Amino acid sequence: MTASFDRGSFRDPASRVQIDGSRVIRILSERGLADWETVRASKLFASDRVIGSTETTVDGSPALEHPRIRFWSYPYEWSFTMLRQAALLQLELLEEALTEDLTIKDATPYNIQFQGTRPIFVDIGSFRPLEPGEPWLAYRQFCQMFLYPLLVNSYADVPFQPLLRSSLDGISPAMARTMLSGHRRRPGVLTDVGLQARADRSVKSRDMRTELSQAGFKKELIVHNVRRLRKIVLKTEWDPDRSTWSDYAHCDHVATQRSAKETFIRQVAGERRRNLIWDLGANDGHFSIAAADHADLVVAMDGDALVIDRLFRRLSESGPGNVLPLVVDLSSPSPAWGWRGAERTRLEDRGRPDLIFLLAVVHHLVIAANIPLTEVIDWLAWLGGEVVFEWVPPTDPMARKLAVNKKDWEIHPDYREEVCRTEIDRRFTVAREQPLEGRILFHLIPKG
Amino acid sequence: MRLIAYIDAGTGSMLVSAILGGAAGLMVFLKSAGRRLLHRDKVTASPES
Repeated sequence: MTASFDRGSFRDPASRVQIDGSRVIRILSERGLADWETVRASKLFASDRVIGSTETTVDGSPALEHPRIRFWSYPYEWSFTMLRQAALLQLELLEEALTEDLTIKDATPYNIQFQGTRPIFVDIGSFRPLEPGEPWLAYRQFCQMFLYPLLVNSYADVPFQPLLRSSLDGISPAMARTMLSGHRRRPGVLTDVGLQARADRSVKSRDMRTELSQAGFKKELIVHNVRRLRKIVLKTEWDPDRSTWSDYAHCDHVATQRSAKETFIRQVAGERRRNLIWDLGANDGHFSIAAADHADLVVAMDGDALVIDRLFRRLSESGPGNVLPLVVDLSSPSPAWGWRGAERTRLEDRGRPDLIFLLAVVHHLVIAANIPLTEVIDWLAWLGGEVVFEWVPPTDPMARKLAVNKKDWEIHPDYREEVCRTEIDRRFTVAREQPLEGRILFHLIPKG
Repeated sequence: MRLIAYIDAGTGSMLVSAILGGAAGLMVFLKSAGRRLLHRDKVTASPES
């Protein structure tokens, strides 16, 4: 296996991450090594909230080796509570670092990953000694990447995921101020949003680090600020009564078919242990949880941010700990983007599943999202794993509901059972099929 | 004309973070502002280019 640099780690001049098979190596520059030698004795690195590091060398260069994260996720795929947990971890670690005269030089959720429902800080290169009189340089980044997304979601009910997916720098103070204009009295809006938006327009560039240092800036001011922000973050909440899919599990047709589907899923998942299962359109995560005993990790994806948030909270309380819930619109999964279109990796390139569930989803993709059935099956085959696929015919009552305002000719003509079977036969072997009230459950094994 | 692209947005944010550091932070901000006023005549503005 050839080593390659992680395309998302080049911005830090002090260290860069290299992936070599299953090894994750952080190559340190001279400055990065000096920082590491100062911070490595910190209690922070003994905590399971920070990724483990083992000192090593690569071609004579100093380096750190970290355990590999099973499946990377990005903040625009997290639910509200996930981002909130990540923000609290960032503040908690910074406050602890300050007690040892260390700081975290940036404040981006891309430095945090979820192992199941547990957030973990992965960018060891972010820790460095605090210079005397130095202000918190990452305050603005914390606001743009954590605080503003939480505030606009919590106060104005504006989902942050599309905003973070379209801007690597997060939400600007001016943009946040506009979105929060009706919420000026809520915590953080006048201070962290309004003041910064105003400062952006009126404060000219100058050497503020030196000025504040000369004026007697002390780390206690950062601690005060961090505690203040923590209180604001703790006050944010988002739990609307319902969303499009929040009551789906209680629908009659779901309840009646759930037991048969669960038996089918348990049989397939129980055949052997899988590394990675994707449950696409997971909703309340019922089938993800049913399969979790048979996999290292189950990624439960759904486009509805509320159902994923509720699933995250439920998993956080009662497990299992190897289910990672993510907000993903299957008709437009997260793309590769950022610098040279590669800084952030597309969803499908972050780890291919060896088993995929696509239950009660195909009619949504074909009818609601206008994706031809052939495309859907082709995509599943391209992912390379086995598939548990539920065929929902156009005559199904739920499919008819989706199509109620569509003429026949407005639905792709390939949405027929015979086409479905032909396309499946081209790419998969049908290991098993089971009729289910007009629908069909398939267990598909890829050919070749 | 003000050249927005040459303004470091971090300057204002650092100032705001000092102010939000509580009463002590406000003192630091006032002290910093006072020093700037005292030294204003000595500062030679360089043209933005």
